[in-house]
Amino acid sequence: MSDYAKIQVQLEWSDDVNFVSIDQRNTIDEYAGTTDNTMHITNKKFPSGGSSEVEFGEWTSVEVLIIKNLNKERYIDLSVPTAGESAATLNRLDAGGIFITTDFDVSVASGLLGGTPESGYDVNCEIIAFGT
Amino acid sequence: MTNYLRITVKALLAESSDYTDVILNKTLDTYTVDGENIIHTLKRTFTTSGEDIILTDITDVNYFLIKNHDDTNFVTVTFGTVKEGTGTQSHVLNAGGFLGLTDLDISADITVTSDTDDVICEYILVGDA
Repeated sequence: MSDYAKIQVQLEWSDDVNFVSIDQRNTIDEYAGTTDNTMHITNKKFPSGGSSEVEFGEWTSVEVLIIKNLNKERYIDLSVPTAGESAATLNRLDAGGIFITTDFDVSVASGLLGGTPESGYDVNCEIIAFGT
Repeated sequence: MTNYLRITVKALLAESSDYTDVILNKTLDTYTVDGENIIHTLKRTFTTSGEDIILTDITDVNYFLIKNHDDTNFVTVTFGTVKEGTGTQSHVLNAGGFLGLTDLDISADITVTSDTDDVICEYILVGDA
């Protein structure tokens, strides 16, 4: 059976930190395929002291990957396997930040998504993956 | 003056293409990022030669989100990150795809290059002046 996945990103901006008045609002959608998709949501703890991984090696493809840093004070360094790269690419995800990519390649770096939290702190992330 | 961008991400999985038979519905906690500059470009054409997103007026990028609005062609986005240090990295945006980052190094250009034809992308960049 085919399932249908989509993500929706809503952008709102304001000169007021509480967004009492919103200057502009914009919503953009992505439809992530129509066949055999699954959506996997996991809450992953990346403990202090080094890198740990989330494995996507058994997936055929990951069409969309979204990572939300649930820690509002500490960053986490991500290593993300992306197409066309020989090794995972490195991005620092700020406290509370959201990382989105449609370029996750399960054949790079054994399909391992790595996370190294800020030294001395555990960081929890919520990970949403669409794929097959 | 400081401006604020609030980002809300929703993910849906449904049995039907009109999303009435929802299997899973997840909304992430919002992410609010601030900066003195918010640059939002709804439509910009990127070619196979590649175009740069100019960061001249930005001293620090706090969030960058780009959406490929094309139905068939991908684009490649090349950029530097503070974490990566020297050099650049690239992400492919498939047709309709997204890229959202909190980590951009302004010493490197953001370059967007289309695959085979002109592609329209939308991007928003929050930074300090």
